[in-house]
Parts: sequence; C-alpha cells; structure tokens
Amino acid sequence: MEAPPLPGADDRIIETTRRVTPARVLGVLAAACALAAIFGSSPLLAWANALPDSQAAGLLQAAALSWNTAMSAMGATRLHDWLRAFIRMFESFHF
Amino acid sequence: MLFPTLNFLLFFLAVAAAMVPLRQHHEGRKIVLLVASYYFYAQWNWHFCALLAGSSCISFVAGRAIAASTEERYRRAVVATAVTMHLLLLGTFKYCDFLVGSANALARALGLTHELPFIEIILPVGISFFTFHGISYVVDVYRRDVAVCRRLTDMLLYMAFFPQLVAGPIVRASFLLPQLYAAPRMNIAIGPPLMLILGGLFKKVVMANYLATDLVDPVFFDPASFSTADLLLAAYGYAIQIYCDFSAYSDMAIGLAALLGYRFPPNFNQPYRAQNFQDFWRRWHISLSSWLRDYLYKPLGGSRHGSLLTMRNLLITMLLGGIWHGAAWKFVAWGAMHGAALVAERALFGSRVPKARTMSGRILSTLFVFHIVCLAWVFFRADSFDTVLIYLGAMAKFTPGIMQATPFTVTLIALGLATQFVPADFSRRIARRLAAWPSWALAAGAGLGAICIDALGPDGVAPFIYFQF
Repeated sequence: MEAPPLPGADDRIIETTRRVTPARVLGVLAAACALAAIFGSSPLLAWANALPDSQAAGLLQAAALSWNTAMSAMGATRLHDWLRAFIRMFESFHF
Repeated sequence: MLFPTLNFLLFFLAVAAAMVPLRQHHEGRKIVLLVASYYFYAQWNWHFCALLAGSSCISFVAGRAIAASTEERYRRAVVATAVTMHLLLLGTFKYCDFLVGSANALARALGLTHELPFIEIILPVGISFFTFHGISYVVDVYRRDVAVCRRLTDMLLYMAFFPQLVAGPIVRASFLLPQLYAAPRMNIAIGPPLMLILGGLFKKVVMANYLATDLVDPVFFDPASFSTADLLLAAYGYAIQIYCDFSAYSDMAIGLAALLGYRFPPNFNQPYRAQNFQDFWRRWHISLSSWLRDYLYKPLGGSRHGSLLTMRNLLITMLLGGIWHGAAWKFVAWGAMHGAALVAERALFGSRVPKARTMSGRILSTLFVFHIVCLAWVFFRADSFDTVLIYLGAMAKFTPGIMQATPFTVTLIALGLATQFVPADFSRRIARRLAAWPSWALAAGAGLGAICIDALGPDGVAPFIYFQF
C-alpha cells in the first residue's frame, strides 16, 4: 500500500483538451437536451406522468403528451422504440 | 435525486445557467454551488442538512485552532478531539444499532437475559464520505498540506459539493480546497467530461441495472435454487455490477465537477486486470485506499517497524476499511479477506510483489486475483453469513444446467470484463478525437447518446450501491 495511486486516465484526458466558456457549456448542454427531447419524447412523457399531482404538473403532462404525439407522427421516436424493442428481444433469449 | 434522472438534469442545467453570469465572480459562484449542494442533499432528507453543516463546522473550528497554534501538543489534542467528534457522529448514526445488536447476541450467547434497546436511526446518505472529508481537512491542516480555511463557506462547500457528496470519490482537502481558494479556470474542457458522463450513464443504466435485476438479485435471494453455473456467473456478474455501478458514479461525479470548472481525483483504473492484491487496491476505489493508506495505515506505523507490525497494520487497515462500508459482520469478513490476501502477499514476496514474466504467468495471476476478489464479493453482497454458506455449498454441489443466466447477461459480463483489458490510454485516445469535434457535434453526440442509453436501459433507475455506505 506504499506506492502513490496511479495517475488517472480521467484526470489526464480532461487536462489535455481545448476549453470553452461556461456559456458554451450551457449552450452545449441545452442543445443536447433539445435533441434528446425530440428523439426521447416518450421518456419525457413518462417523467411528466410520474410527477406529483398539481396544477403545474397537469399542464406539463398535457404539453408532454402533445409533444410526444407530434414527435411520434414525425417518426422521431422510432430510434428509441427500435432500440428498446431490440434490447427486450435480446433479453428474452435463453440458453 | 439520482444522477441518471431527468430531475437531476434539470437541477444541473439550472446550476450551469447560474455559472454563466458569475464567470468573473468567484465568491458568487461558490455561494451558488453551496446553495445548490445543500438543496441537492435536502432532496434525500432535509433534516440531515444540519448534520452536514455541523460536521463541517467541527472541521472549520478545529482547523482554525490548529493553524492558530504552534504548540505541538495543543495541535495534536485539537486533531484528536476533532477526529473523535467526527467518528462519534459516524458511529452514532451508522454503527450504534450494529453494536447494540452484536452486544445483545453476545449477551444471549452468555445466557444473559437483559437486552439493550435499538435506537433505530435513519442512516444519513453519504455520512461515511463527508466524515472522511472532514477528517481529511483537519489532518491536512495539521500536517500543513493545505492552508487553513478562512471562510466558513469554503469549508461548507468542500464538505457538501454535490458531485462528490453522497458517494465520493473521497476528495481530500489538500486536493479540492486550493481550487476553492483560488479562482478556478473558467475555460472548461467539455468533450472529456461529456464522455465520462455518458460512459458512466451506460455503465449504470444498462450494465449494472440489468445485471442486478436479471441475474444477481434473483440468485443471491435464493442461492439454493440455482445451478453451479448460475452461481458462478452471478458472482462474476456482481463483480461487474458493483464495478459498473460505483465507477459510473465516480465518472459522472468527475465529469460534472469538470463541467463546473473543478477537478476531482480518479477513483478506478481497470481493477480486474490487477495481477496481485496490492495492485488491485491501487486500481479499486483509489480515493478510499489512498485515504486509508495516508490517514490510517501510515499513522499506525505503516511498514516502518518490521514485517510482523506491517502485517498487523495491513490487517487493521483492511478490517476498518471493510466496516467503513457498512455496519455488518459481512463487511468485516470482506475486509478481513482482503487484509489476509495482502498479508499473505507481504509474507511471500515482501513489499514489492514481482510481476509474472511470462504471458501465461500474467494470465494465471490475474485469474487468481479476480477469483479471490469474486469470492470476497459473495460475502459483500450476501444478506448474511447463512446466505454465504448456502451459496458456497450450492456451488460445491456441481448442479448442472443454467436457469437464470441468459446470453444477454453473459454478454454484459463479457463486455464488463473486456473494458478491463483495453489499452490503458484508450479513453485518452477517444478524448483526443473528441477535442477536434465542434460544439454542435458534441451536443448532438451527447443528446443522441443519452437517448440511446435510456432506450437500452430497463424502466426506472435503481439507487447506486454505494449510497448505502
């Protein structure tokens, strides 16, 4: 137990890359969330439906339902649905 | 509020948004992070915010007292008092009922009729971690490894900083406090943190969760009902599950802190490729093993006083490391097994365990260490010693067939093991490639990656294993 811990790969990779401002970080995160909201409207709806009852939750649920319906009509939910179906099928295999 | 949830994402977006106008206001940023950290902790049980604040105040006052004096005896007394207070808090909340239960069991064995009452306190989330943070600060100030905290808010934030608050990594005062004292770099590397967060999400949501629900939990619930192959695969499965679960939390914590401009130390480094137990403990839960080495093993005497005392110190360190994980004899047994393995290595090879020279030797030593580690994980995961005996007894019956393991769970185990043997600089190579990506591509990758992980994962997210510690 005497030797110091190995330098971490995680720390090294953070040290060696180019840097951006907090505003850019927020922009990237917000853009990633927007994209996730398009392709992941069904988990968004599930999250809204699990919120405790309140007026705001009701509004959110209605908005999430409309959004999910619109995204399904556009076909944006296909990737999520296909991956879920694939993993469930793989999970059901037995030796 | 668990990391892999939409609630946490919204919380983190709010914190990241608050950082933007405060780019040049270091103190303001720290106040926002402090408020956010206490809000984060209050989501579990707001009553324990007072405990966290009280624990921070103990360290803050002790640090000031140590720094204000040059008299060695007084400084030592303050360290001893502060460490004792931290350990008393930890003992009261975490070990009280365990000690009462053990005393009652001993009393029954001795034929005594009187039993002590249980206190039945709820275990505050993360108490083991923030207690170690508090002790680290006091000892680091005493050793003059870190400058004393002049502002209480710095101390409160060091102890409560939300990425590492409930399950580590254990960030030492000498590592994080200098980052809080000085204005942090507000130029943030974004690709690698996103990669760590997405990788952590995959390990937790897909690998750890499926291995738990599809294999490990059912087999450990009733081991007598399963075949030898199932029991063996469940032991392997738990080894991968706990690695994916805990390293996922650490990766996400490191990534989240990096997105806010702070650095955390690494916590895992492909532990199952270790060729000896010394090597394993340099790769598994590095922040805990190095903490135990510097704040317990070395103060006990380390390896300075001959072989026998070194072995005693190793055993004490690992026993206490075991019980740090939880108030149960099974954790003591887990620590004892690792302690015995380290002692045996020390007895056979001395302080430097030689690495095998041939490929077959390296493979055999890695397999040997992995299987002993898996055996120790059976003690760690089982509900009781009875379960361990049933588990190992059922395994020894060599019952044929496979009832619970599936091609899917075996694939997850194989994938988990494969990650242990990719080249050590694999993640750095990916990070270098990510560095060339424009911001819009990183955003697209992160958004699509998160959706794919959500789609691949089971419904709902189980709490992280290390939350109970």
